[in-house]
Amino acid sequence: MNENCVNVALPKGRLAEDTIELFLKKGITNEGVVDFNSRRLTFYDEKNNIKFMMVRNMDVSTYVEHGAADIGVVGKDILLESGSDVYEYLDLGFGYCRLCVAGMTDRDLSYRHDMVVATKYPMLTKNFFAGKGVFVETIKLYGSIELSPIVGLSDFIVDLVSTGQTLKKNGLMEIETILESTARLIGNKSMAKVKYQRIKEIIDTVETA
Amino acid sequence: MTGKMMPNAAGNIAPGRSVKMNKIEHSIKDTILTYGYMEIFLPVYEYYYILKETTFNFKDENTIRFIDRNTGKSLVLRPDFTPQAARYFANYMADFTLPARVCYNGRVFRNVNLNKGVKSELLQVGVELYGDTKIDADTELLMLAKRAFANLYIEGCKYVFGHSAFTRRALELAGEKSTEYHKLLDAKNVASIKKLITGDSEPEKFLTYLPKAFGGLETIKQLIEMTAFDKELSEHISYIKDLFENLVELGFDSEDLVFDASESRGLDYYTGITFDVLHAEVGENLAGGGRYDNLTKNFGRDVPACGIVFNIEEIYSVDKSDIKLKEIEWLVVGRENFAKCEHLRDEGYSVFFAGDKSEKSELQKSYSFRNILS
Repeated sequence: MNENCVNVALPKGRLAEDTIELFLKKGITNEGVVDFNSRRLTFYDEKNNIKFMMVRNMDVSTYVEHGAADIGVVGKDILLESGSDVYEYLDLGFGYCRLCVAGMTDRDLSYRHDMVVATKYPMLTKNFFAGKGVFVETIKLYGSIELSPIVGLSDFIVDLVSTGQTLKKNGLMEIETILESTARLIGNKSMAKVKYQRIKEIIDTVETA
Repeated sequence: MTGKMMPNAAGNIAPGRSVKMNKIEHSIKDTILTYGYMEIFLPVYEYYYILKETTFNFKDENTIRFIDRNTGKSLVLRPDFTPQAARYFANYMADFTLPARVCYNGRVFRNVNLNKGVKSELLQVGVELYGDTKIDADTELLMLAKRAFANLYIEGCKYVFGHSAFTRRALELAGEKSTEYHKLLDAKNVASIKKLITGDSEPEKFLTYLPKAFGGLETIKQLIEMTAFDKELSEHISYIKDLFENLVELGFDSEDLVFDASESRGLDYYTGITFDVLHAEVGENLAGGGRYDNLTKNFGRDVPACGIVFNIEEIYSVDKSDIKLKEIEWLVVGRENFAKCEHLRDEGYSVFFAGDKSEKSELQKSYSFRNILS
């Protein structure tokens, strides 16, 4: 590895797989570099001088903002929630998800002041309800958000929804969409310029269909 | 632990690190002095209202603020030296012939969020050069930086430039879309800018190219071609070209010079070039600066100005030199030997005294001594 190596932070899971597939297609990396079944966290592609690191999706923008990674791939939802000071070069189109408000089917689903909303996205949630003129309290949870209104921890939830099956099974229903999100190619502000040849090459390669 | 923790992100600096940080600070100051800068000391705290209007990127949430009990006014721990230096220059250097050069060093303070891995106190050394609008002044700052890093044996620095007047003009060209364009340009959002600016007139082509317009001489050449339609843009980009040529002639490697045409921070503050010294091993800048010709008039004297500040913590993390704690020349133990310590110091030795003889071997675990007297 050398100082011109590009470090890429990818969120473990589907987004990382889609990104590697895209990078393979574009010739940015080669087959056999990243092994998703291994427990390793870093993979170095010597031929293309590019290193991939697998991190949690919520952490991608942190790695990139601090320059531990030069570029990264992260959902727009997380990018907005974290408020990280990074470049957002491209919309990669994949990794589509919707951030929605949901509530218990058998309760009054109209918004009111002082209601409690459980979510992994407190910033986005607060901003959304402030925009509607409703002040809410948020509770930050890390998973199984659907549980919280059932047991009375919150009145509503704000969470990612794909098919809506999990909501339905737990007696909840979707009320409205806050945000439609897709994966973004982000970059550290300093490293964009320190390694400009390589970074621009990657942006150009990914951008051209 | 007693539970008596430090405030969030406050900065202790341990002995080994302190020695190296001091070395870096002194080395840079020595370099600065070879350019004829005069050192001034500036206050650690300052009126909020003064800085609010005169500090680059001043944000309430980033400052550490408290109240002056006498006046009831808000005070802040200084987040930046430049406005204070400008006031010093405007108020107290009226009889100096221009150009005037001042330098300073010390800590600046910022309010940081929990668990972000950053400290609230930063050690800086900086200079301000007043009264020179010529390219020479900008060039001098860069040469000073190059020399400072050479004296520290730090290699691999990249010098990244922006031009605030160039970027301002580009935003003007975006017309009514300017606010949205500015936001996207800040994020170098290539994809969304393409959607926002759709035409293929010369200005529109230029605006869509701008987020990707960062690079070396080839980027500048490309920009010179693309901006031929606009006199103001052309002037600014030629300035950058001239500056780069100057710097290369004076010993810079052209590979280390980068221009980012969409650098858009501090557009109300900077009037000409901005620059950062970056390094592949750290995310933050080792040094940074620019030209702010409108700053000193806030303090009653309208004089062009430019400056550079060095961030000692960031430089520390790329400084590979191996500095050990200095050996103490004598360990003297036993109360009866107290007077001998002073005699040794008279002879020029460094002496560590401990009254209790039984601590001799324990002390040697914590410090390094050349000789022992017991």
